[in-house]
Amino acid sequence: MKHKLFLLGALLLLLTVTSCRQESDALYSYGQNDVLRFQEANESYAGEFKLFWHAMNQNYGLWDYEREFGLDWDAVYDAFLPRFEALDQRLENGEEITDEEYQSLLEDLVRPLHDSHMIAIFKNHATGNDITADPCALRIYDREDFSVAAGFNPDLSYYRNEGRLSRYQSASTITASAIEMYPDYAEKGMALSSCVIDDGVAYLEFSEFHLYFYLNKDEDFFPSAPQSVLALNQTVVDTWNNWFSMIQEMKKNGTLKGVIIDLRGNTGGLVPDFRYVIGALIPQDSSLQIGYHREKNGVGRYDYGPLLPDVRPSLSDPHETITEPIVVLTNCLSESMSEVTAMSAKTLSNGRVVGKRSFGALGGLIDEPESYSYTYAGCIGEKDKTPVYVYLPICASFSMDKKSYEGVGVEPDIEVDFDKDLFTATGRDTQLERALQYIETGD
Amino acid sequence: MKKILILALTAFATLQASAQWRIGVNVGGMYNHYVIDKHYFDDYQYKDRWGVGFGLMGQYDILDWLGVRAELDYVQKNHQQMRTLEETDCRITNSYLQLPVMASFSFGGTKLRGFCHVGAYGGYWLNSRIKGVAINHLIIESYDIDEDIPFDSERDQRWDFGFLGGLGMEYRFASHWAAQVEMRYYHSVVSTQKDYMRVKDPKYNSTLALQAGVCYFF
Repeated sequence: MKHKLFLLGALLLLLTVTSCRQESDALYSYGQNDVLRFQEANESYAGEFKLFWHAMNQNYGLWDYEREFGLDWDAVYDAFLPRFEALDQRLENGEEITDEEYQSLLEDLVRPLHDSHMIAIFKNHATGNDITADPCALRIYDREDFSVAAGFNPDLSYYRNEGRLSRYQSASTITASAIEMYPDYAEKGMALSSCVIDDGVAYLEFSEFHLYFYLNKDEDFFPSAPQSVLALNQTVVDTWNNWFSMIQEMKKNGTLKGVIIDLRGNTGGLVPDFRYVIGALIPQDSSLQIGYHREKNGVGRYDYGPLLPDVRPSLSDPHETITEPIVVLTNCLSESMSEVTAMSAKTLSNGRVVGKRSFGALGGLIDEPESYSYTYAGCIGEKDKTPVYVYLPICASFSMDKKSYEGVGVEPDIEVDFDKDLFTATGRDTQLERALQYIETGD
Repeated sequence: MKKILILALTAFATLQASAQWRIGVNVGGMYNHYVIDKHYFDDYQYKDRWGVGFGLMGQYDILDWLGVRAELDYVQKNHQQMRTLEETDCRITNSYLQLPVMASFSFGGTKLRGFCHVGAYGGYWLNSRIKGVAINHLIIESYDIDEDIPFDSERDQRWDFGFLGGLGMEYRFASHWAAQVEMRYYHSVVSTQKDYMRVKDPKYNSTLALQAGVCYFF
């Protein structure tokens, strides 16, 4: 009997203590326009802030990185909620809350974040206007080389006048007249030029990574376009073909000295463009691992999946393998795919980056995150529909040494300042000349 | 007072007469259930997985029906993470060093006895490994992965604690030897993640052990 009493008591104790577990908070997806989820944000500034804070806590893929910079996201909640609540109180009292004031508050909120693709748009309940806060824009303006890079477009006129260029070709579908003719060029347009410098250096420069729209043979990105548009598109194809074919010819006849890919001021673009740039220089039917991607795999701030290889394919068309120096030119306005291209060059034994540290926008994006939520990330809200909208990468990017350079940028192998005064006065480009010097001398 | 003292000493002497030490080894399978709230990650699935466990035990039998047992075990508390809408499928292996301490209640005959264990355990998370297939959604490629999962000191709770209960049978096949089989349940009350953010999102392990062992009676 005694034994049974002890046994019963022990079992009852076990049943009691097995309930000692915390419940989790209810967490919601903010990926789409949901009336219930966005109700409080539709009604108040504090609601907008709380939605933004929670959605970022769940979706943002760089919290461990931000931690290294000293950012405490919980402390941000404690510090900023009262400021947003104060706006609600003032609005209730009939006070004016200008767009400028709200923008200043939003900029304070997003400033510490390093994701350089991120754009946050909040509605000012007082005015009904959408207010944009871009943490990277806030950071880039403080760069000492920003003023030099802003407004700069590569110009080879000096070198042409010196007789150092041959096979020069250029095209543009982003002129005002082109966009007027075909408005889709506003999203698909690009400008590019190609030539041979000093009888052996193949040079390519372009404004954004939109080559896939023009060069891809499997999909028509200009359906029902008039002949004038197709003819203009062909100039883009011809200019790239000019660069590609000059490399093949010079490589075969032994006169190729090197390749320069000028990405200064290039704002990035399509992931598949890799194959038409670096991919056209690496062995055919090969691929190149340029780094790693990491995705969220849960709602917790530090719920991350494993690092997965970021492997890019070569161009499938027959082409030579380039063993001569490949130089990528960058400045502080070389963004996104420009930086991926710079990272790619760094993985090649014959690749170098010359110029200045790039923009720092390395995370992977997709065009329509609202309709593609495989990573349960990519956006908060829907643009023009929800009071809070944030465009975010679907993954974080890491270099081959498994480090993130988000918000910092890719450091050049050879750092060279751009002498704007010299360029203005003479047309000489100090960064281009340093790249040519490296190709000639190896130094 | 003197009478109480004599009574206590007599009782202790009686206990000492029937007390017996034993030591032994266990090995078995650990079937783990990972308790996690998926929230809105609708197509994620967390499946239970088997792991292994083995260890040493020591037991002091105070009476013929009551003993105190302690073990030092290596156990695995594993789970599987997969997605129903694509091919992601990863098996996570978590290794722990565990120290269960329990009361052992036994009943039955001399050769064949049943027993019940009730107690608590402490543990330390040694390492974690992931193996399987994951998809890089930006470049739409799947990759085989087989690597350690690095710990994050702010996120991961390395120390574990919980309660246990078990039922089993023991067969005394020699004067100093016995074999045991036991089904035991470990209920962790410490989340595998610390409360590192203002939002609560705990995760727990619930583990069923099927183990067999041999012990030597002194």
